Amino acid sequence: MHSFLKKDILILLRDRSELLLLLLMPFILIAILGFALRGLFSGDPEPLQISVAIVQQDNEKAGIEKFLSDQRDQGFSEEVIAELESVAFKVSPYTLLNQVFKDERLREMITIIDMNLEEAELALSSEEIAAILTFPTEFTFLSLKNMLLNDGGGSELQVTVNDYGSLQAKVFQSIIQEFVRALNFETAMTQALSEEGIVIEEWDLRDIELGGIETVTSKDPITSFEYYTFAIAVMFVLYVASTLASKAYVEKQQQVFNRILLSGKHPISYLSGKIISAIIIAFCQLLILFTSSSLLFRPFQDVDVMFWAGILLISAILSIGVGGLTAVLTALTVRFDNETFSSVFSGGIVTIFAFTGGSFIPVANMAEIVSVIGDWTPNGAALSAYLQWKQGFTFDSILPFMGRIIGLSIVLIASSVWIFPRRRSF
Amino acid sequence: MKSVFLLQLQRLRRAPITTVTFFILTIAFVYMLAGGESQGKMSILTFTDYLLSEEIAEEWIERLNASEAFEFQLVEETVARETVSSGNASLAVKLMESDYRLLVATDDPNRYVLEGYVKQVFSEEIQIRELEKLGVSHETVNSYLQSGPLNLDTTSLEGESGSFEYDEQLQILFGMTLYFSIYTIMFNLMNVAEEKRLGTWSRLIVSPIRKWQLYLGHLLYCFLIGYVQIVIVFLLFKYVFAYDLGNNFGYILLVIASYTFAIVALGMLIIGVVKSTQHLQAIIPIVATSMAMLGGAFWPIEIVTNQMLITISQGMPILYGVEALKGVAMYNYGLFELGETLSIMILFGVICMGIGINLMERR
Repeated sequence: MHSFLKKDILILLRDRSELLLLLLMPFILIAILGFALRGLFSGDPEPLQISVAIVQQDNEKAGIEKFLSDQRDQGFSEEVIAELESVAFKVSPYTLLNQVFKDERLREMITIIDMNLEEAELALSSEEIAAILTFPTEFTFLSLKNMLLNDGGGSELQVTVNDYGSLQAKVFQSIIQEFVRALNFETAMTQALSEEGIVIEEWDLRDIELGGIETVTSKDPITSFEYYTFAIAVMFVLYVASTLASKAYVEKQQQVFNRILLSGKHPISYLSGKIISAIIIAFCQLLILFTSSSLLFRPFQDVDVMFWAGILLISAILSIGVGGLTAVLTALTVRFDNETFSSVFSGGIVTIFAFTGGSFIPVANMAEIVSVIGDWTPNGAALSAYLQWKQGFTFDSILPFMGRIIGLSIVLIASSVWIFPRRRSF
Repeated sequence: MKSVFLLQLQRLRRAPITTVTFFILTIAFVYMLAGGESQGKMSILTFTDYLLSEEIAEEWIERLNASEAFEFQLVEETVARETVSSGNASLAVKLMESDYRLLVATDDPNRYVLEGYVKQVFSEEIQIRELEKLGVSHETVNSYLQSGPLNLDTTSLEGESGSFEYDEQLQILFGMTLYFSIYTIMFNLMNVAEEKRLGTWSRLIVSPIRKWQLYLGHLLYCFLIGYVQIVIVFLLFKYVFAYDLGNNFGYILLVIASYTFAIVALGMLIIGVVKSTQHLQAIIPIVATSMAMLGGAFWPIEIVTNQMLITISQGMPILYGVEALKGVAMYNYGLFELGETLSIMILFGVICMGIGINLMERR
């Protein structure tokens, strides 16, 4: 057994480029994902940044003036006009929207640049800005007329985006949508109230405090680097299985396997050598990845020894899961003398596992079947366990995930023993 | 050339497993991610405080479900907490008598959108309740709401109106199909490395067949395999699953051709650098996966904000492939708009092919 282990580890160590790939690539990907998708995760230093252009084709002051002089022509008394004037300045949508943009949360997120239409379209097509917000001509006049006198169809805000895939554009559009809806709703309420003859001076309910954020435990939400350190680690550790299985193919091709059998060793000891070396290699890979990533990107701040002990335990269990996968792949490869299994695994299955296990994006938005499959993949279960452990859950709560991986490994290893050929074949 | 090409086809007939598996994987995977029953609605878990009666909770759910973008489901508190904390859902909503809380473990961009929507539903309902106390009915407010002062009109730069949700299915279809086709193309191209190892390549070189015929036979075969795979997947999703791929399938065929050429050429470059089939086995998944991540095949490139990564992404052919396909399907791009992306892909292909064949010939 010991010599089998030595053989497998030596083969891998001699193959520098492959080893480098296994260790370096996840590292690069953590950096890529961590940087690429940062800002989407709270607790990140940089929140989402949205630059938008405002194209003002309307003149607010002139609009209000026009509105007032219109009413004068209608024969309203100066008193009414003066009152309308003060209200109009207060509720002019342009002013209200500017107040929304000055709100503390949005001020940090949104950068507004005033432009004319051509400049704005140019900036949008070169992706300097995420969206254009246009106030069409007569915007203030038409909307005030509707708001205060319930006359006419109001006006329209125009949001122009480069394409609908842009997250910034999506968030900005939803902010404007929210504003439009709130303004319409408030107007409708005021109008309904005045229909009933009730006049309320200041309608202040809009500012009621609603909502809020809770985290699952008392700890902070997980940052993007933390999430992707775990997510990519659990994905790349799967490549250990296909790598070792493809080595088995070479050994079969070069008659190494047959020579081992001729020496009188039991075939299963070859297989168990593979399993144990997979476990050890996978564990080392996880260990190296977590250490180097935490030194470089510093994702895990304020954690204690218990945290690392838990991480080690989960990693050990996950490595056993990888051992199970290696067993099946090796058994299939040797039995059918075909490399297809390891290439399909490394090309297709790993990606599917990674996706369903949530290594790329949280799976909640997908069909239910996806998260069910994900929970039963070794990487998905391990990722859940890592995440819960990071959030400060108790040992009991991560136990089921580890149980799943162990159960899966037992099934995999048992079936590999069943598949593995007992006799020499040519 | 013809015989080299036919030889490859014969090989495929003898050992179709790899190619067929990737073909099936593509369809299953795209269907699983984009299809299903969810139809673009994002499902959100909600749970209640133990103080809240079920009826009130149901009422909130009903109001919340008026949305086009979200679908709210009421579940047990433990289920919601478990799902969120294990990372399977990024958030859940906790309903209270006249308030709510968002339960968050890992954050995601949709939170801003969801938060705005839930807040709007709650604040409107609370204000309506106040109004009802004053004797104003809900219906009156609604009738005024029909003719509100403001409208919001969202258009794209080309003047098309569309929606933000629609995009995601096509993103998955295009991104995943192009991603998986890399495997089909490159694993088939490994035949070249295999022939070199077995010595067939040298024997072919000394035969009367010309060098360019030898290369062209291989490349044509790989091109055809990749092209046919992508086309079949698109046709399947267009006609069987009724995806809207625009009216111009001819342009889509053109984009696929340029993309496939770029990938075949990239494969040639990789085979030029990495000789052994063992290494290719390891390197291909990693190249494909990182390229797909950087080039925005797994998620829309627009959500990436880091400038350096955006610059890197410009070197990935898959970025142009996905962009061009989206352009044709969603914005009815014509040849003029496609010209730039197509020529970048072809240029990329020509450069890779040049370097790749040079490297193959050198050693």
